[in-house]
Amino acid sequence: MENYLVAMAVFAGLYGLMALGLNVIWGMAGMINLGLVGFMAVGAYTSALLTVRHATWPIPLGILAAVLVTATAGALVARITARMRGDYLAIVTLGFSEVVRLVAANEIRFTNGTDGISAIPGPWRGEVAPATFNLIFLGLTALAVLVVYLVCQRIRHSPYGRVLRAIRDDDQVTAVAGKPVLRFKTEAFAVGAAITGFAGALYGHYNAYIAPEGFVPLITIYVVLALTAGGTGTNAGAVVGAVLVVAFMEGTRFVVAAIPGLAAVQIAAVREFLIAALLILLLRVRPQGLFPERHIRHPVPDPR
Amino acid sequence: MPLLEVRGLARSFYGVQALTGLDLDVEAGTITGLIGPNGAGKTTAFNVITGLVPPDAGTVRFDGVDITGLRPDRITGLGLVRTFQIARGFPRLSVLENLMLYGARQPGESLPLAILPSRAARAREAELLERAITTARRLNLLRVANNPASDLSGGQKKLLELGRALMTDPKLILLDEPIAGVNPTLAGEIGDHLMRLRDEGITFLIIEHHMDAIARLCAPVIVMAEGRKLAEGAFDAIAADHAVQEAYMGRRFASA
Repeated sequence: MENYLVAMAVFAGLYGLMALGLNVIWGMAGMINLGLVGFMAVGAYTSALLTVRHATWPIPLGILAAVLVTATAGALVARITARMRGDYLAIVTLGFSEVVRLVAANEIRFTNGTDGISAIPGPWRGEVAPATFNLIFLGLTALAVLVVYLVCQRIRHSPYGRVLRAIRDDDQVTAVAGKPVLRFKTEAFAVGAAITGFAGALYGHYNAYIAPEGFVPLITIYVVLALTAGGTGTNAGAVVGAVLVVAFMEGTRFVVAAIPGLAAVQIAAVREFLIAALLILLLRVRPQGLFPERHIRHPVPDPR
Repeated sequence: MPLLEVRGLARSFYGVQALTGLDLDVEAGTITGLIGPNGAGKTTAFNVITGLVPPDAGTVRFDGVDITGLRPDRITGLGLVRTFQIARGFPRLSVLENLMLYGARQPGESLPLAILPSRAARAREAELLERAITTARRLNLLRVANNPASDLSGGQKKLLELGRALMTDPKLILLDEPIAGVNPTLAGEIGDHLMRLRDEGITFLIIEHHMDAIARLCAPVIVMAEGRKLAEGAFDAIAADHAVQEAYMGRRFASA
């Protein structure tokens, strides 16, 4: 049971990272990105391919490569979609993540196809007991969340973040304000993608196994749900929302299991139903999230 | 040489010709009025001059530089800034943030310096804050300085539009209906602000429908109709001009 809880805490941390990444792209700069899981996959595959399948790089180098590759992929997607917004951007980014998944499934010589990649190394895995490995990884994940959270807080409160929030409200007026809007959009997308790719790489090293079917759009939806629940635009909201979503998803497992007379397939369906119901309820009751975004205040002298 | 020199500007949207060869000059130190019936192409002229919409033909020269087709942020950087007709902008930023956003040369707007701010970035931010407070005080917005812009009244939004433009250190401001829908007292105050700013060296080109305000503030007045300049001159001369009256009121059959 402890191992299960630790594993869930790791997953909560990974979702938290992805929610922080989405918060830069969508929460701060206002660009919809339904292709988040695609960047997670690119990150996971980059690090896995470099540490086990095509090379034997040390884990930190693999993760660094994953961050750089996903940042580049994010910048490219941002440039390609520069003229799109709203629903169009949503569809194209969703398509991007599906393309990534299908390439991973079909470029068998490169990615081992749907069999996935196994034996991905983890820090000190094999040298310590599995329970200890779990705890070490939880510590690393918590550290990663903390560092990324602090970086995102810096961005949000900086003049840079002010420009991103301005773009979210009206990108044309931001251009008139003298800001090179395309540069900001591209960078925000790259940063968000890099954070997501970082989470993906960590996932691979934790799980030791990745396969294309692990990167379905449903994961993106969970991350969107986490950010919406926590409060779009706030970094604390992203992290807390992710913890709550993972806790809720796992909690429903036990609740549903307590209902007598359900077959396994029905149990899965009821869980999905509960998660959908949560999203609807949340958007109905508290659309601004648990930690609604507050605008930034500055000290002002007495008006007289 | 005029500060702003527009020659042969043309632009059509899906077959509708919004600008059909507009020529206009704005002399430095003036408050030039731009009037004309609805659909004359005034706002399109602003959009093309400030780079939001590329022209089909024609040139725009500002302060001796050809700015035709430049990106809006570059044009603002050269000292030509505009406001928007329906107070557009940043409802979720505070009044001060709205103002500080328009400040140029903030090194903290680069990504690395956002994460690890340099001394220069912090110093510039302090400067921008002070400047924003001064601007807010001047426009009587200090009491609402930390409110989100969405909470402002219509008149306060117009003042904020003006304040944001001022934060860019402009030579020329294009104002799109700065007093439309504002109560007469505030309209008078906005007019006072504009005249004081002109005396301090800022040039204005103003779209407005309030003839009282035009008469008080603007010299010269340019009249646009059907995408080009119809007349230009002092307000009284323009008001007496037969062609201008026709453009506004329509033509009488008998005189045709």
